Amino acid sequence: MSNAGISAGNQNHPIKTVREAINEALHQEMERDPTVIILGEEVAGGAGCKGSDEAYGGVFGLTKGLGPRFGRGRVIDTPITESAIIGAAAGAANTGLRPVAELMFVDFIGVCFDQIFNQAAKFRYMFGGKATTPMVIRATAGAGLRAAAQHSSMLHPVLTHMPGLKVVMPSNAYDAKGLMIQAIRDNDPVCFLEHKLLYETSCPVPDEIYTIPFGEAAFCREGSDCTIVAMGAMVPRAILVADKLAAEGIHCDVIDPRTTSPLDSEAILESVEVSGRLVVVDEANPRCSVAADISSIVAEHAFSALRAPIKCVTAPHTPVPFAPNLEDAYMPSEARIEQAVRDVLGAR
Amino acid sequence: MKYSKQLLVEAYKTMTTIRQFEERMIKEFMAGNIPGFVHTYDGQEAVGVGVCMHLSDEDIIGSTHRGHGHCIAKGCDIELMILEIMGKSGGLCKGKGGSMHIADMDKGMLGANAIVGGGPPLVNGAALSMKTLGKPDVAVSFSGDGSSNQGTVMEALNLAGVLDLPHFFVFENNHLAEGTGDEYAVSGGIAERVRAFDIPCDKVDGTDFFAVYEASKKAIKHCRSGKGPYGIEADVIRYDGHFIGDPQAYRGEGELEYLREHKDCLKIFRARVTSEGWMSDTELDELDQHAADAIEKGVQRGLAAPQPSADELYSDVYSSY
Amino acid sequence: MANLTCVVMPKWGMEMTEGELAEWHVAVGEAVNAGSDIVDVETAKIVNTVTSNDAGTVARLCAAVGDILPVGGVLAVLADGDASEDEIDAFLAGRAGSAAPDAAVDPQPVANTEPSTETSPPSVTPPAPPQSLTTSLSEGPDDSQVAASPVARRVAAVNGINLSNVVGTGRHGRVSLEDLRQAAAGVGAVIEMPTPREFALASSQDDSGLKVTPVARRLAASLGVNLNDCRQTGRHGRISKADVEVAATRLNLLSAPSPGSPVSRTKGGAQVTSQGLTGARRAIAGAVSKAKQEVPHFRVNVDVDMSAAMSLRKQLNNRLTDAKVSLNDILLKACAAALADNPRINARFDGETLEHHTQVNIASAVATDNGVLMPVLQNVGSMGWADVSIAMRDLAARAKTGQLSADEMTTATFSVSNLGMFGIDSFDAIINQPAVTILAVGAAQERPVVRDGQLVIGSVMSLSLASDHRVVDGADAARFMADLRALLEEPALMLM
Repeated sequence: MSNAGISAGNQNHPIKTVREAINEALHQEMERDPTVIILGEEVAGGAGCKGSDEAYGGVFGLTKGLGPRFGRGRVIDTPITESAIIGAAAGAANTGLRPVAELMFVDFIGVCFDQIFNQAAKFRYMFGGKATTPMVIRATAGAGLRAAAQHSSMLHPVLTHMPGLKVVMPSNAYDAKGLMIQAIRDNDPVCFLEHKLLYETSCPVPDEIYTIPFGEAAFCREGSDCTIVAMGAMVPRAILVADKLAAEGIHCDVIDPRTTSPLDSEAILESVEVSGRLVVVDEANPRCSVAADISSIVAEHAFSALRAPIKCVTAPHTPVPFAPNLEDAYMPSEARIEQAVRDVLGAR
Repeated sequence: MKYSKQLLVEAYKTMTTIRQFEERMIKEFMAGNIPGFVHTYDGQEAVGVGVCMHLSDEDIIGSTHRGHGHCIAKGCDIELMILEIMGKSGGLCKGKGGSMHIADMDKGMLGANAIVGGGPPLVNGAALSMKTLGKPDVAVSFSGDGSSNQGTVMEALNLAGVLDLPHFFVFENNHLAEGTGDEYAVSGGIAERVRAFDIPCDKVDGTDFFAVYEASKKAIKHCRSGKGPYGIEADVIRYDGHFIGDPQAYRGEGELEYLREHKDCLKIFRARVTSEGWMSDTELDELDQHAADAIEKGVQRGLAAPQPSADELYSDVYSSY
Repeated sequence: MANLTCVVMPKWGMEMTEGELAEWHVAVGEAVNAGSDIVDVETAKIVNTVTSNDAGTVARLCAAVGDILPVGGVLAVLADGDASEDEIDAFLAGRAGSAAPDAAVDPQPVANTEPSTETSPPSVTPPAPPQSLTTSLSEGPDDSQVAASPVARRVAAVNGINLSNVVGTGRHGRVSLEDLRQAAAGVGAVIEMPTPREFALASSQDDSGLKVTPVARRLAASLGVNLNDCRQTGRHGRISKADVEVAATRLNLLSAPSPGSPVSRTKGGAQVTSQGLTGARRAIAGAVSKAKQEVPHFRVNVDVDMSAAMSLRKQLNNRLTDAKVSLNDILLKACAAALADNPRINARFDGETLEHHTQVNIASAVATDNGVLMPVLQNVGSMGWADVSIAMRDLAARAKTGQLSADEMTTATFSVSNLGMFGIDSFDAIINQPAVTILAVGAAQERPVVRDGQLVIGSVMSLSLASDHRVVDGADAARFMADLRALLEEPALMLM
């Protein structure tokens, strides 16, 4: 599936999937900087076994080729011990390395939450600015693959809430590579959430190294009639809706924040100033979601520009169901997004 | 003489500094000059000092909530520590960490950790850095009998063993996890747990500086030579409550008096060095006085110092945002 | 003199602020050592024993069992020798004078109003009426590489602002919308924001699953209303007939009742007929509102002696066979002649651009069933008297039947409104934009006039010229009106 027209890669660049783009970013940064290391479960795979020395290269193939290329000293398979993994990454980050730790599924954050929330996020502040924690936590997130409740969460609202953390959610391969390189070079703890459904989506991605700054939203489509903010796997859906409406003469700004912390609230507010209408699409559950957060920011700072109530399109207040039809109903669909846009345009 | 005068002087000086520092912190807390909680290390000095005397600024330690002693033993400035504990501007962490988060990265002190069991996984990380970057340094975690039950500590032991990390696990068993004794709460033994991960672990009398010193020397040499992690379980006592103000209702009748008389590591040290003729009482008393003076000076400075300025609230969240 | 020390109420734990004395363990005169039990104290959480920091003799007990003292309060005084009561008093007084332990041991965090470390978002002002931007902001090299937020880039393009001329203070130094406003304000201008559009969208999604009353569903089907476009104000959250009607109205699907049709109802015996504005009435309402709001009207009035004009009319009508010239026709010709001599009046102004025309096109107010129209007679200056008359009749007739061409609606350079046929003395008219003036004409009436120093009865018509003061000055209007009066009072001048 192609995401044509999303960002700044152009026809001269080779087409790569999100998985390939992130993998390339890791290869390029590990080549450039010997202090970058990878830790996680099955990041190479096969440790202590009799078969291949790279049995997986990451369960979704994200870290393929790194183990054979850089050795097990820098690509470290770990036991299934999330708090040890993330704790080691935090301690190593404070003492000279730039670790990229993998949390195989963001749902597993429960068992290592302390190391993220109480330790890594707070070091710099608690220690009066003396600690620097340049670590990346990569985690697979989101629903859509029928992986059921404990392997399908979107926890970016929880992470965005915490001061000291940065939260990145690329929606396409071009952004994924640039944001990953930026995350590795960033001197603060970065949670890099990779949506399962996006891994095999593709678009043009340059071979050379480039970064995308945090806190700058991408405008995937532009138009003055309505502002649609979407993140992660919701971005391609929002684009499809916007293109469908464009055929009817309705033109929307589709804004992908790319990072929810820091958030480019400025870009969102400017767009709402022009359009007066806002729809926010967020796969998270509705209470305390990033949709709720963005709505609150807009209501507080651009109230006089609003011409209709704000509409949020989110998952329901439930865990992720297993049955395919139920999971499809759980995730914000194109139809629901389109209806939300029509609602704010024709406010009844 | 087995031990140089310089070593003995430094050892006693550091231990008496810790003892008097903690006793003074208790007084200042009771007088209302210290906000929050404080957990004092008095009684356990021999372990912190016995271990840290083998360490340089490049070696790393990670501590617990009971971190003042480790901090002083690792060489942190006591005046800056006092400022931090009092929450004043100019403190070791600009007054933003307090007693439980006291740290000094320049001195290799990775921080006191208010989360029980929070330290060992982080110290694994420091050890991983050293190994990856090819440094000859060692990373030391201090844990209590309470944290020996935490899953994070087990995971850290396992990972240290798996990756052969230069991590020296020091367990200070003061037989109390808050108000619960280790006889009840620890199923099995601490050293036995460490050994279960195929990591060698020695049991040490934690009230005897020299025993701790020798055991640490062996362990640290093991770690520095790339042989992987090592552990000790030091048998110690703490005099004061889990926190200052703790009435220690869990102590038996006369227990504290007995401990102060028979299990005081400073008294034990004094008895040893004087009987061996290595130092005199006068020399030891002088070191006591110097420590007292330094602490008095630090306390006066701390009491007079201003609180952090209001904009410190917002600084140091990120390197850049 | 003895050295005196105190035993004070200690702080046990973070939350303790005071304690109650439970039981003394010492009496006055008793000797104590450091660490001796002095008194049991009870707090909200625990009972504990206060011990002495110093050795000495208990000189005074400063509180009784049951007293509640704050942290730092003095419980007892110890002395290392004999001390008199006065000495103890003085000691205690000296203690109270020096600062007691800081009450704010746990200071409250400083309240802040701007906690965000992100760029603080700009507050929004509603768009102001656009004014022209100077070219100082428009010129510059290619600005496609200047960092700007996408919205700022679009708005800059629409306003002709080159981003190289704008200082960027947004995120990462990019040009933000607020920066554009600042740049415009710096040259005394205001940026134009795109006008939001209104929508009346019809949903196309399947509505069969919605809760709706049977009547409403049938009505929706017959009107072609999709139920997704309806509110649900019926019982139990169903879509009701009224909801369908509202949606149909909004989507212009309703044929009857049309929004413009009057609806009658009786209220307390009196009948009220109400209807919305449609079509021409709506357009008129819009046009006059706009003219009144935007145009600074000022008026110049003359009273004209029409005897000569009436005389001319008689002469013409005696000769003409296929037309009857009216006073109004003569007036139109006189205006055209006056306009030829006062080109500043023969103009159109849209608020930005002023057009001077050599050809005179005069719009005349014509009453129709749907409201007043202003059809335009073109090139009046070159028309003959009879032609003017014939053309005006034809124009008025076609205005009433809605058969005017586009040019006959939109090319006026001057306007006239004549209420003389109703016997009106004088009135003020509202400018018919974009023409810059309008002449309001009253009836020719018998009034006293002064001729050659004598008071006589003359035929007098009051004329009032309303002008757009943005582009017409008093002198211009006055000159025109003076010329017009002269032409009407001496029609032969029109031949010159």
